[in-house]
Amino acid sequence: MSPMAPPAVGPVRIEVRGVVRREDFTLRLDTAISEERTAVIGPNGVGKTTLLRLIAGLERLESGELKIDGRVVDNAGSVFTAAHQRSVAVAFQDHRLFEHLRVVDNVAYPLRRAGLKRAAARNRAGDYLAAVGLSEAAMVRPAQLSGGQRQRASIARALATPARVLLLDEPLASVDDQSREDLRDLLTSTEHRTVVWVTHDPDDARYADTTLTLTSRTLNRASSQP
Amino acid sequence: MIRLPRAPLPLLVPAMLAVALLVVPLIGLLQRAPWSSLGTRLADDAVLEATRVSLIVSFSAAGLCLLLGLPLAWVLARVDLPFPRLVRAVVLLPMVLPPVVAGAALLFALGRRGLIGQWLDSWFGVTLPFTTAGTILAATFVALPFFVTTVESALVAQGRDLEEAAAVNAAGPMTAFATVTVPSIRGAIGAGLALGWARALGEFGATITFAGSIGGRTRTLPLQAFLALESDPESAVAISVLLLAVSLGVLVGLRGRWLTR
Repeated sequence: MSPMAPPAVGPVRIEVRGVVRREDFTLRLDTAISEERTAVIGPNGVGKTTLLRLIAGLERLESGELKIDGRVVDNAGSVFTAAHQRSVAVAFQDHRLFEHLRVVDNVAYPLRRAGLKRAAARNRAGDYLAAVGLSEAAMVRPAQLSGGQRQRASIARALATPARVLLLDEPLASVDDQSREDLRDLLTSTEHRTVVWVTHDPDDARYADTTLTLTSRTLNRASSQP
Repeated sequence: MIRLPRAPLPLLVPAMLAVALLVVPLIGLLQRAPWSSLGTRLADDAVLEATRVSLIVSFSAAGLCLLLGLPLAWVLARVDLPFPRLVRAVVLLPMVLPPVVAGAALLFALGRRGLIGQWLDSWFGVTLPFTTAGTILAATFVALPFFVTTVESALVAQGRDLEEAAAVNAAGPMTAFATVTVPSIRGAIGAGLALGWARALGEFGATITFAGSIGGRTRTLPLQAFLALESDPESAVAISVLLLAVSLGVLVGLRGRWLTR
């Protein structure tokens, strides 16, 4: 589905050891994500979203080091690779669609940034919209979509982003049961080399190779699926 | 039928007095307006020339607001500045500063013997006081805070969410600014431009202090109205009615759409 992503040569290894301090909590991390499909679970407010934001480059380490594919992208000091240079795609829990653009142009946005011309980007965006079952809404503005449709549009945009790593924050929380099954298949079959998937749904976690459990603001090591 | 909410008298009476204070002068102006000859008075050569200067000055000032104020609003909304309160106060200062003080300050900074003006004069031969360019600067000085605060509050209200979404879609900061930030606050940008333009159009004190009142160069409509007040009061009233109509038009056009978010 994403012919512009680098060829699949196994998962991208993400190693993080360090501390993120936010206004309301401190997250201590010491883990490595090395499987293709990793589910992140844990109670509310434990820092699952913060972990994704850290990997995406939207949050900085206060101390420690974050490596993606062996390269240091954040060392809490001199090294910080900005989000737009990390080759990481994100589907946000709150969707974050660009309200001034049509749905198809939201999905085409990352393709345009990758250098595609408008028509080609729209064309390919149409494929991703079809994959999430949103073809009929391509030409409307996001404001006209339902919550579930917005979520699917945001998934389509993340899938369209040519990146090595795909980060999903509760991607299926507001879609109906029927679409959920289809979307799970879609998300697990994406050509992104590594998918990190924050979820509350045990069924989602079952699709992953590995489950990472966050407890009491400390990220434990990954435990392999039984 | 208008439904009047029951208001306690101690609130209602002062409120009505306040409205009267604002409205009575306008009625005073309108009842003096030479309605039958309004057209010919506004078509008078001196008035037309002042209109031309006013249009050039106000639209140039609005353009400068966009060019300089949009980046400034973004910096104020998104960058952790040292002494943020002081910086914000300096940006807002022209809103409360007596315009004469503003004009004098511009003169001491950009006049021929001013801080920067002396270099502009000796190095580039550029003189700002008593020129149209100086008039534009004076108008921009007073209009800028109206534009900046309108746009800044829209940026703060919007938050960083969409800029983050653009970043993880491989948009660099400038691309995100141009393709996501600006289009999503275009309503506030339009409102800020309208307010800044209207303020620039009405500018008087800083202009007369810094740029004087030279016909065809620095004499804008408000200066023309002031000049005419002695010699040809009816012409002054005609210009005033025109400026009143434009100001009211801008505010009515904006009402409830962008000023209240």
